[in-house]
Amino acid sequence: MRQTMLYTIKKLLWTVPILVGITFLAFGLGLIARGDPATNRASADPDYIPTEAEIQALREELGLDDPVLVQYGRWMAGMVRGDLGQSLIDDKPVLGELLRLLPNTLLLSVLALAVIAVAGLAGGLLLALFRDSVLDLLGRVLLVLLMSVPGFCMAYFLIWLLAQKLHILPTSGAESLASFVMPCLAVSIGSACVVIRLLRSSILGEMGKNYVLTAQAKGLRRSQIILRHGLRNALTPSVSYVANTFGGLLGGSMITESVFSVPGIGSYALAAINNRDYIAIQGYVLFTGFAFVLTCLLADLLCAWLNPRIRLEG
Amino acid sequence: MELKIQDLCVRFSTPSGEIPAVNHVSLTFSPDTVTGIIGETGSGKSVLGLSILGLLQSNAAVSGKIFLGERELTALSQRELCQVRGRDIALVAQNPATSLNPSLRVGRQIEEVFRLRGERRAQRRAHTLELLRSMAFSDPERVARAYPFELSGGMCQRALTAIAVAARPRWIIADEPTKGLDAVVRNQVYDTFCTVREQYRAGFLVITHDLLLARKFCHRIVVMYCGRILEVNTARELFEHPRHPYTQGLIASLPHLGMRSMAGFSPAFTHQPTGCVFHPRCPHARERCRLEEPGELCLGEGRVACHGCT
Amino acid sequence: MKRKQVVCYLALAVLGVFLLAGLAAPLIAPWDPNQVNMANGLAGPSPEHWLGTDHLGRDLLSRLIYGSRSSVFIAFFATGCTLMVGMTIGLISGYLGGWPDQLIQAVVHIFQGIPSTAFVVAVLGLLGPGLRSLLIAIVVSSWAGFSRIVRNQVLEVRELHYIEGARAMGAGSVYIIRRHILPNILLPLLVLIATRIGSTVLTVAAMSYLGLGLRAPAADWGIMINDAKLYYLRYAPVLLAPAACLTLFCLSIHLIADCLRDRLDHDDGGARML
Repeated sequence: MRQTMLYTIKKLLWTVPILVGITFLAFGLGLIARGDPATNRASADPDYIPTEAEIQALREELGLDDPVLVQYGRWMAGMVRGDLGQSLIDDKPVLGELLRLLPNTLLLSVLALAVIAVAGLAGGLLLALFRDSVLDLLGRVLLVLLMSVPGFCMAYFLIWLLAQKLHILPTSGAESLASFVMPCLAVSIGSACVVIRLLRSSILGEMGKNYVLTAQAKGLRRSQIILRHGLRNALTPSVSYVANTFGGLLGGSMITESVFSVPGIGSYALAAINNRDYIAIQGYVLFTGFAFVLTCLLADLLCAWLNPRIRLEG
Repeated sequence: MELKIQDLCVRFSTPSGEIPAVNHVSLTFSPDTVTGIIGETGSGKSVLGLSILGLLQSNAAVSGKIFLGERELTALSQRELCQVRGRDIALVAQNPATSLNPSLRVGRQIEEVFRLRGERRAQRRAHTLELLRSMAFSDPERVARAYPFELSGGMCQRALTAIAVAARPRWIIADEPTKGLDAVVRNQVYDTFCTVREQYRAGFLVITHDLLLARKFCHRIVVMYCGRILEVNTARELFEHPRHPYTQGLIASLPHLGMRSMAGFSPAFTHQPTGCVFHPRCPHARERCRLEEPGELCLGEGRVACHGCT
Repeated sequence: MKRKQVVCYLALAVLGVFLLAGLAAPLIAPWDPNQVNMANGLAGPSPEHWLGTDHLGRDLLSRLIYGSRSSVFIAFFATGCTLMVGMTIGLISGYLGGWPDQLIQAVVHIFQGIPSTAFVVAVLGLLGPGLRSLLIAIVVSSWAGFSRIVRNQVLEVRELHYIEGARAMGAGSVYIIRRHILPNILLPLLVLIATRIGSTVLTVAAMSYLGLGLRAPAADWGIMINDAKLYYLRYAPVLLAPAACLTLFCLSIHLIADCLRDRLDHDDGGARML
């Protein structure tokens, strides 16, 4: 119990500097890319050529002459207050926009997580149980084929099949749950295949360990050994992978969102990038980074619960 | 119930060729005596033990028959074998540190045996604690709650033994119980085994390269080399009058008898010598040993496979 | 055993075909990939255009071949750069140990704290589209993974006794890294390189598809798919052909990685046998 506490605290403490580092990174990226916002803003009106003095005044107003650290501090202070700045394009607060679009992305990610986790677990177990049978062989061929199809090709295939041919699902939008089915499948099929393969191979890897011999000698059947002994030890890599995927999805899947026109965080970022809206991009990087790191933290804690040896290593 | 092996051969097919790990072994173990199987690493003794339980890997081809009493184990299906394992024949696996599941508490791993027998939760728990206490654990509650990596090697070994005896099997096969343990813990293992033997009255088969343990604990000893039986005798007779040159060599290499090492090395499984497998290292090898495999010669209570013994 | 090898060689052959097609694109492509012929848009297969033409009447096969050039070569080059950066940092980190290691690992963790697609997109968005930015974006977003794995491998290998032996005999650091550590981490690294090449091809295609990588007239699989999205219902091959190429390429990479992994775990198989 004490070890668990220690491990959790250690992990939590480790997360803090990483989060701080991400703020640096996000801020730095913006700094490199922004060019000279004062000039840009002053030249917003194409018919008017601003004077040097006007640009300088704007610079001071925006605080661009301050040392970098001061600017970072100001940005951080804003962040703590929940203010990631205003978009350069439409002056809407970045955080507000992100939060407005979050539900769609969240729904998509959670659905995908469910599909990946359920399919991965069931598939991995099934293939491991029926190792070297026809099912296993066919399954593995199918898996490697499916996971080689890039997500956006899969998306078009799904549109063609489910919307154009079978007419059972709408092609785009985010109005009903049905319109989330295809995007969800498009992002999750490939990852699910990866998880199935990963889980299968780690279960089979566990089956060669010494403790399995002890379990066999107790009189447990192979299926019982896989479920009660092997699975738990074999889950760690798959959990990490699923967490990585989910964390990435929380940052919005730009391609899927643009193919299916789902208004989410990914499409927001895409719009920001096309407009070179560096404040929005900073906010986006920060947001996805935080979401990703926190997801991975949860996954680490889950792995430590599954596999107590991890708690010792820290 | 007698454990009988008839003409057992085990071959592994590997990418580097066929490996004959056990060659034409016939043995009978009686439950009243403790039998030790000794030999160097790679002599096929562990394979022999695992083949009794039907626990060899899938690339192993087994021929010959193994009987437990009247039941032919080699003819049973996997499902039936699962009934035999644990209840009739139990195993104490080698490497205690890795032979327990690292992510389950020790108590739960012992309870599992009782669970297989359909006991209820509270009953299982009580039985587990009782069993741990009888294995000379001073604080059974703590051990049951611990994970294997929180226990010492000797404690893991005792926990493994507890798992083996939990279902009160008729036979216990201990595979290298003292491998990698230091002298103090080795003595503990010996004590544990003596207790188990007294309490459970199970037949014991000890597979070991630890000659001292074999001499102390076993009544009868089988010497294996290259998957073949070279000599069988009572422990006392074998240690006092070893007949086969290999047995003589093994005993002469014991520390308190001068620690004279044997010439040569065990041959690779893929390149076994012709005739008597031991002849390249044998000080008394003759032309005949190179060409002809020796038959078994019965001498008193024991038997030996050597052209030199008459 | 046999079947696995056949699959592996087949995968290598497919990869070789892509590489060759890319290398010799000007020689084997029957048409100029950018030659527009509006009159012959979305035409079916014919003796002149084996796979037909796209909406602007450009020859699909030629565009595929040139696309293999950009996609595959960018992927290899970017992976190479990433490898150099990641491996150098990883080797230094693992070999030095102590506080430099801690510091480098902290930076690595920070870079890994942002999902790679988001990272690539952000860097691309900030630097503007183009080949150079694409390369920079890929390297910046993925060096950390490489260096972390290299560093862990180095730490593992470093503890082996014979390295200590070599050090005791007075071998220098560079010598030890080159002669003892590199060969040991090579195979696990190869697996990583293979999978990384696959994912980089996907990243390049995805970015080009989004209009953030290579720009429009260029022949690239991602751009082809982007062009095709309005026309594929009228003539399926405009979408199918580049998608099939991407899939085939990834498939061969996955199979090769599997073979390497098999080779890697080879010696674990017989552990419980005796």
